Amino acid sequence: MARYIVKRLALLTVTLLGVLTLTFFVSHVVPGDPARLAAGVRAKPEQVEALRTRLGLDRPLWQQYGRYIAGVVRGDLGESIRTRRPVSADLAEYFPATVELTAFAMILCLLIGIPSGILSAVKRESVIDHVSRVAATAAVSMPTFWLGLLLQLLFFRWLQILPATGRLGFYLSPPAHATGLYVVDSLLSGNWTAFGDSFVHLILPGTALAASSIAVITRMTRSSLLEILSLDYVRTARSKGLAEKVVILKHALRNALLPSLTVIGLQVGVLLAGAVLIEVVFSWPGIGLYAVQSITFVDFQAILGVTLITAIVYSGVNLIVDVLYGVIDPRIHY
Amino acid sequence: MKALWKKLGRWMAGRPLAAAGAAALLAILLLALFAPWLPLQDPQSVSMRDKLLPPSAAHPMGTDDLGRDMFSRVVHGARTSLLVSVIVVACASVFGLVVGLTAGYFGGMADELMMRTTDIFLAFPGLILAMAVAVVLGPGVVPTIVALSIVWWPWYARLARSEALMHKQADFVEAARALGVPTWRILRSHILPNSLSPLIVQATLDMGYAILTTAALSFIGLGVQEPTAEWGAMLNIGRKYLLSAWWFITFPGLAIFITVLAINLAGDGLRDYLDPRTRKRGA
Repeated sequence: MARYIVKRLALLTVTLLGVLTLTFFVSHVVPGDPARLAAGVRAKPEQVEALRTRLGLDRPLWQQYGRYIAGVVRGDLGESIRTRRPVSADLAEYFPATVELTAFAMILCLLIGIPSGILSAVKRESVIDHVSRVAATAAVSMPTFWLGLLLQLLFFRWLQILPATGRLGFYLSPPAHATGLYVVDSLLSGNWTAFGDSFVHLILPGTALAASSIAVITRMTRSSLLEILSLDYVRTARSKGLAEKVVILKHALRNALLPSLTVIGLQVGVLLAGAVLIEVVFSWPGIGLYAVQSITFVDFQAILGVTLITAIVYSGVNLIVDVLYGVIDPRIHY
Repeated sequence: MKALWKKLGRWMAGRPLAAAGAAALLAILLLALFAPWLPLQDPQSVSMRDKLLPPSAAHPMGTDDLGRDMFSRVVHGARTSLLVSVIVVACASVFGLVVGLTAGYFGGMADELMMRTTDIFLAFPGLILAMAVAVVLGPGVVPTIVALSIVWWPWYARLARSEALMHKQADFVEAARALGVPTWRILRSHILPNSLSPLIVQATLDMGYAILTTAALSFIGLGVQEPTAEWGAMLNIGRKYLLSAWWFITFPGLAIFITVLAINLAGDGLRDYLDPRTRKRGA
């Protein structure tokens, strides 16, 4: 097991080095003039030249590459031309909001996706199963951001029962900073008003973000549970007179959830990408909104910083999922 | 070929959802193809007097912020979305197929190199890598196509690789090798035709994802730009009028939804048809 983790970590290091090489290539080689790009559209020629020297863009490419890698390893992601701050400082400020949103969406995925998958499998070919199949196809066909807009139209504009933008009502101040997740921070400081309000603000963006992943997890749980239910050990459990509920929840589900685990890991990538769009729709101050606001300014360092941090988080999650898989399933030996 | 179509048709008849998807997709394709010759209003004709009109007999989907007819723009938007997604899937699948088949067949270093390279691309959530590339390449249809192809080829390469691995030990390939058939001909005439069906299914379903991602890029201000009619770009402007003009965001989004739904339904049907494993299960 330990050997496997070490091997995976080594592989992850290689991948991340590749990721850095790719972002270096995208930022230094593809554009005609990276200094021009880094200085921004409105910069004067002498400003561009000054920046070229400061960023070392007048040196040979291999030296630039070395500097770039060394910088990223130290946590230096360059400077944003829009906020005039280090990109890493900006990311530290915006990232908790994204974590809160995606974590909330992931909880929704598990709370809704797994039970409805079990229900579809148990009541196979029933009305429930057909409805869930149609709903799942519809959910994966719907643009995340459009669903977000529709929810705003319905619950904010027409029904007027849920807020449409931001993390908190404007009349409230953020809870004392501990994790940066408002829901958690307000609980920690016992601030119930802020807790209720930040939770209410999560409902619409979280639902819009989670919809397609709920569908994927439902279908995955259904098909893997059906596969397990046809195995001999399940028949044995049934024939010795166990209640169907025990057979499904205790015997079959545990094995059925294993393949779902991999899918859940992959959904983290889907959620992180979707968060970019949802954050724009709901003015949610996370790294996605930060990246999109940077687009108008062609603020390249900022966008690359977001790209890099998402790739690292996503790779890390998938590593954890693979290792967990081995821990949970005793049949797997590395 | 004709027999195949007939068989496919008969099979589809037992699957109303797949048939409905295929029919809807065909209708959308025809609409997109003949849009310039249909009796539609000019999608570019600006008329500030008519801005943000709700749906009416004259404008079935209302008008946008520049008084342009939404219905006409939604229909013309299908041209952009379908064109981009077809080209993206074609580029990504052909490139991925060549790389993946070669790597899988030769194995060793070539295979290791391909796997590690695809690892890098797959470490990014797709839209986010596309976003970074699109920012560098600038706005427009061609940069969008390039950005999306870069995101998608690794999936096809992986798929083609696993197919090549599966077939390279097959008896008919061994036989061809023993007879001294040159390697590239083994790849072209023996491995490739046997690897195609999962790739075709993947490509069909990917058309839907490509449409969603194209719209997403335009929605955040990259990709296809005004005044070209594109669904994502229309939604980007429409969201500023969310509170006053519900039709502005409703219809372009509905167009994306229906098109992608049609592709997914037709694609699922195609998968069940081509893949005997899922056919047997009947699930």
